[in-house]
Amino acid sequence: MTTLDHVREAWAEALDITTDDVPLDVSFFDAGGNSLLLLLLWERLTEHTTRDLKAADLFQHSTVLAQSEFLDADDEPVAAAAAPQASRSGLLGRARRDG
Amino acid sequence: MTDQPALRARGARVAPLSFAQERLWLVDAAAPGSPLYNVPLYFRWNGTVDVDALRFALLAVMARHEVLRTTYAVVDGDRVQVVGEPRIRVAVVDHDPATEARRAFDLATEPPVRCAVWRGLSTDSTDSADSADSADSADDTVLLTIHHIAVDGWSLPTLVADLDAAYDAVLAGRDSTLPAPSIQYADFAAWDRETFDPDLLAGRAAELADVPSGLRLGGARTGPDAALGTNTGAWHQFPIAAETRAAVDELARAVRATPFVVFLAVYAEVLSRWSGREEFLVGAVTANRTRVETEDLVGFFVNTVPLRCAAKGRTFAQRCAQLRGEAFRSMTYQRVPYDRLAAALPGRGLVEVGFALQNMPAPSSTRWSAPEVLPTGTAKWDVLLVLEDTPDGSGAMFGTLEFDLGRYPAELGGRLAADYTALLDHVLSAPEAPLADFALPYGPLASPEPLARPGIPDTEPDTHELTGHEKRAAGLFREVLAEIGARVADLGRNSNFFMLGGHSLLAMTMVERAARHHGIAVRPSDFLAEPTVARLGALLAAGERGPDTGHTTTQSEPTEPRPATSTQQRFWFLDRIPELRSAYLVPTIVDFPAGVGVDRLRAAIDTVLARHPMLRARFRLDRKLRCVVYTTDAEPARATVTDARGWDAPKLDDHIAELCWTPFDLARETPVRAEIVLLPDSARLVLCAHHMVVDGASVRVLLDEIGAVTEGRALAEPVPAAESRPEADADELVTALRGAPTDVWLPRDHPRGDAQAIEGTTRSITLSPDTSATLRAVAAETGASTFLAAAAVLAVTLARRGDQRDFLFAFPWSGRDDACAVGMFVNTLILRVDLRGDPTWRQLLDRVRAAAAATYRAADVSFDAVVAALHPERDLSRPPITPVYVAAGDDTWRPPLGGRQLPLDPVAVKYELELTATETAAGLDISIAYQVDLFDEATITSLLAEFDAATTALVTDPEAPAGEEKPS
Repeated sequence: MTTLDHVREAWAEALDITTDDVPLDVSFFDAGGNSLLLLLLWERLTEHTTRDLKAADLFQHSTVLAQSEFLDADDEPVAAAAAPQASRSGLLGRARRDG
Repeated sequence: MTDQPALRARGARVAPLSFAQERLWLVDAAAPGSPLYNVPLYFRWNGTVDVDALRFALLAVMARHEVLRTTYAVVDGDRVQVVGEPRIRVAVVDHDPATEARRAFDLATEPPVRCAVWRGLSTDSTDSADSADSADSADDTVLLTIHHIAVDGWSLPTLVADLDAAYDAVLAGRDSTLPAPSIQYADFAAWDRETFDPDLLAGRAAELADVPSGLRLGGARTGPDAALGTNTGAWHQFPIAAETRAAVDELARAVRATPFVVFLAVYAEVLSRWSGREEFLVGAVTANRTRVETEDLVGFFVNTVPLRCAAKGRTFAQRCAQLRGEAFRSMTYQRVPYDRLAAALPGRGLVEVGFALQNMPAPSSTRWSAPEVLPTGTAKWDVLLVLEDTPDGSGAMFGTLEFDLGRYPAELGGRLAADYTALLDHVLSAPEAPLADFALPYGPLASPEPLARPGIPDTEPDTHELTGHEKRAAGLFREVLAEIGARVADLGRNSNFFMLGGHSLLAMTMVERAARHHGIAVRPSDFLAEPTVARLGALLAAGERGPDTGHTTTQSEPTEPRPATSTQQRFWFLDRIPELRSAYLVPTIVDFPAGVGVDRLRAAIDTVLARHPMLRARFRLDRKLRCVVYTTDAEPARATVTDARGWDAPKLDDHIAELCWTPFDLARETPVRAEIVLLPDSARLVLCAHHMVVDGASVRVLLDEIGAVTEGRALAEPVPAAESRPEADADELVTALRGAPTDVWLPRDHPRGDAQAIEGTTRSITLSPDTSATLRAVAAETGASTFLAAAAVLAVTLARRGDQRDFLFAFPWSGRDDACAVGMFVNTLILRVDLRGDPTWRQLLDRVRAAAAATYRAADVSFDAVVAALHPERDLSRPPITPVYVAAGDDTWRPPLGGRQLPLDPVAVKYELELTATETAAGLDISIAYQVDLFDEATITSLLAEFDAATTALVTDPEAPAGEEKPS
């Protein structure tokens, strides 16, 4: 299966529609998605990529075509910086500077 | 008279199910989407149907009978009926009536009544042979399909008469309202439950225990597929002449029995010959309207009463005498619920063959011929014989044999019916002749099988090792089967739940337990399709999301997964955005005096954390249900103590920040932590919970309770947490908000990044006592709160800096009914502050008050619904709809035990700018928490100064224009 097929299947599952009914160039939210369904989509798509796919990426790349291209793009593997840790240390760093 | 509770009108909108309803509900839940219990009433109209009038007439009938507008739900594990408003569509259709008759109901969401009309479909001219042109002008037909849970055969006369009267009234332009009955079905249901007599049940079960079950007529299919029957049914209908009926009445009088007994005795003799059995049980379908108040009610009352039939006595008259006694006795058991009786006699079937005498035909009217019940292609029994009076009053009857095609071949119907009527005619003519001398015209399709010894399941030995999930499944089998006294030794993969003595009610119990014990929702229909250990194991495996990590410890209080609220679902989503998740933590720091008694304090914290279910919640996203669910059966959090008396300031700050801002793994961790940090002069409590399980008021409840327990005071029972609520209608609110910009211009010093940041800090000012008091007074004159006045002033402050004149601000709504509850109740609402048209201050306050009132009216509309309507294209660079949040602070609460609450700095902000207005003794405190990545401190300081100046302008002259005058 191509990446496009995987993305369409993941959309179909998240939106509970048939794969044939998945629009290619409509944003996930316009196609009936909401934030929770986006997480379902995100979980499925992470199974099909070695990239460090973030839920936020699916906001920036919101259509089937865009997501498929994004997943296919041969980017440098993203360093596995544990994002929650980064967020917390940012906060802690601020705490030290302000304190 | 008995001392039973009265059967009275209660007016409840939510009521328990009667036992009869519960049986149908369980059957429906076990196999949703089946037309098994559809009652399709087919009316041949005389002429043309006025569709609108028919609809109004049906609405009037539904208004009169609550059960026709009732839906069914599970609330806290209890099955309930919920009375709704009348609603029905009447459509003119052209598809096949048989298809329409077999369309299943969704009892949870739709009323149990449907109606369709066909134009000119009825070409049946038998009723109007005197009319030469009736063949040309075909009449309309109407199909009224009702789920059996709302109607039975004894309901039809009332139902049809009511429809007739209402339709007449509508056509004549009269008031179609029908007088309300003295009680409703739900009143009966509640009474049915309250007056259930377990002793009567136990007594009847003991009487029937030694009667062999498993009545199989010769020619029955055997093999595993036939073990359950398929519910695919066939009908065979046959007439009984009026003279025969008259002879039955006469014979009944002669043997001092009822016609019911005579008809049943004939049936029993035919069954005895077809099965080769001398003793067996037949299920008599009884009206079960034992109270006069129920006689004219529409609803499902009927109960199945097993009758012991024995081929004792040479002549038919002797048989009738024997059966008369049993029939009379059985009437005293009319109210013993069939399902309960079956459950009390485990490890065996109860009855497979049924009999009903339906002697109250639905009346015909001038508008239609009496309705006929269309076949649904299903069978509820292996074999069911229904005898009915014809509606024309001629005294003739007709019989319907409904039988299961999974059990018997199609030719059974004709032959069994022929044998029945032949024997019926014979015993009328010769009641004193030996029955053995009469040969049935047909007899059984094949020699009946000898009676199998019950209770020995025919399972092949399983050599396969059970998988982990199958072991769990086997454990569930064992557990529930033990409850009905079925002994289960070795369970293999192919062990069949029903062969081991289980029944469908028990299967439902088992499936509910699977959800409770393992957090896995198994659809009953999936299990019942193949009720084996292997199948349940596979369903448990499929329903589980990922392996259990073993984090769960002993389960103190098993609970079923509950759906999270809309707000909780939103927070679950935000917890998946790494940049945002710390913002949805609720940390609180309180310094207690050093002499507080650390051991007592710690024990008190443990007590308080253990008593609120939400503080033990584990959340997960259920892919099947497509929603976040939670359970509350994990171990509670416990307080820790850290001695930090030798630490330097940076180490202490780091430690406190870590306690405050480390996210929770909501699927696996308890979403709350508490630590007592020992300092030289104080005991500092850091209490942090995820926002999914607490709001600000909850934290105050927790601290108050900790204080009370430390001081040795008793606590009241904890208040249950928030329930997920049905989605409220967003239309009115969205209309009121539409058109306003879904962003706010702010004096930002730095541009937004790709992802929203949450690091914030706080600056505040206190307005002078005079200004504060006057602001409060002016606001009050227009009916606005000080908080709403502050929101108006903020809008004006921003408008004086930029060009925006129409603002949306987010603000919190407490959402709670009980001040002592612990949970997340707050909903985020949207306030519109519209400065267009150059209003005076007073006009502006009036506008804001009106806008707030509209928003409060829609306080149950979820924030997500508003986002979906107003700002669907949201991205993650900023909060949806608006980056500004306004709130009213609370300065009246103080921590217990002489504690002092410490401000949080830094603080996590969910919005770019969060303004809190707090009434204090010194004056109105205005504090702004802001995103440090966007604003420099000086900008916020000057914004606060401008806010102060604008407030002064307001209190100086409320009639002056609020904004600067600008050319439009």
